[in-house]
Amino acid sequence: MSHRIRAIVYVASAIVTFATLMYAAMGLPKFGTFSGAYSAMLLQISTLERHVYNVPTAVNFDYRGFDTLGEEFIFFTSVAGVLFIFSAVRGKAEKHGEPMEHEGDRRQSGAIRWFPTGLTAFIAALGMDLGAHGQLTPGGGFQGGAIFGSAIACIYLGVGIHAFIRTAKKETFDMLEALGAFAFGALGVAAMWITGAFLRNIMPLGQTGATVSGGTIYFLSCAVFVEIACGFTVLLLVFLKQTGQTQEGEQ
Amino acid sequence: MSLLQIILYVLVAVLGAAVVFSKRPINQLFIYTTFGMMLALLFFVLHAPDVGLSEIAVGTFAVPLMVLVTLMKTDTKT
Amino acid sequence: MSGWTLYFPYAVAFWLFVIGCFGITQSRNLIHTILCIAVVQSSTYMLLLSIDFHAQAGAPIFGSTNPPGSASVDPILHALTLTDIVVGATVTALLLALTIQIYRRRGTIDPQRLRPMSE
Repeated sequence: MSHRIRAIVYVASAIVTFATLMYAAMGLPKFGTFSGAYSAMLLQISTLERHVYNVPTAVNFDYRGFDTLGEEFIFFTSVAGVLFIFSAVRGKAEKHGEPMEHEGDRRQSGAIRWFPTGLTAFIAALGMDLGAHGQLTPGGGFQGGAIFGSAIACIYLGVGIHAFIRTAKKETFDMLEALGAFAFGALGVAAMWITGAFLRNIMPLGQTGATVSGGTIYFLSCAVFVEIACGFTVLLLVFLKQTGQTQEGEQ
Repeated sequence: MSLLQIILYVLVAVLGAAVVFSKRPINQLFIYTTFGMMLALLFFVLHAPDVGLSEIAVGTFAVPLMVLVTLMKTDTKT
Repeated sequence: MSGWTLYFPYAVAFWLFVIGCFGITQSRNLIHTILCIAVVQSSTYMLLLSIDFHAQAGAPIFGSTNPPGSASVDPILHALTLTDIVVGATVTALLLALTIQIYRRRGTIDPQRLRPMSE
């Protein structure tokens, strides 16, 4: 099918799809007027019942914790998939030892070298702050982890691939990621063991507004933080490693 | 619906179309990054700071970096 | 508040969906396809968060200015969306890794030239 015919067929069907979707939107609540019964209830009870200020975090790690378990394993499986896809090629390259040092590793100096490295510390601290106070302020394991993982990759921008590989040991981060995923499941199973319900909040809830509060919510958030942070670091590491082996890989 | 919201919605719609219609992948990547940033701003304006934080980390750093590496590795030299 | 703004956000979300799918059908480069898929993905976030918004409510994060229990937008859709953005990025990474491997095997990432089982 040529491009032009394909475009005509698609545009015709897209107009119908768009019209149908807009017709369906007429049945949705008008913009700015929605209020669901479930969410109204959660907004009322979550601070009293779970001692948290940030309701989405309470939903993620407590009320709908089982959904998060599913999301978490999608994440885990995708990272494993990426590692698996690259391992076929990397197995060959690693026989020559570590990827060769980038020319950039030595040439850069001064501000170019130290500014991104300093930024790493700052962004990593921000990520940890977001991850650790998910029950009080906007943030939580998912966002904090993504920001922390990205911060580690800033080392690459500043110093180069060699330093990045030395800093982020793949095996260590891989293991920590698995540990994070395991901790989430283990907390759920422990709750089932003690109370008979999977992922029930079993920890003491603590003072509302304290750093460690919300019971299991805090610990699940930390487990997710470790998993996402290490998963992102490993992901960016294997991608950026590809840039170091242009010569060996292509022959 | 405030003016800020209308502006951001229009920007997101235009940038989304620009991502699709840009021909060279490297240009597309930069437009995509801008699109991600506008999306994050829109999420903040819609009272969803949690979602905005996720989108900033993912849409403006992690995904563009990985796409950049893929572009580098699949340079077709044409 | 005029009438058209009441459905305009939904129209933008559907527009992103339709235009992203158009990009997928017209794509001559797998990286272009992946970025179009990312646009389609963001249309779902747009739709969920547009439905969720309430004009007279604040963010679902309580503090001194909005004490617990005060009017707020729906936290459930936020929770859905924020996990999906992070998880969606790793799925994009998986697609990109596959693209790199396809290029190594076939020397092209143009879907038109990737015939099945032709070396």
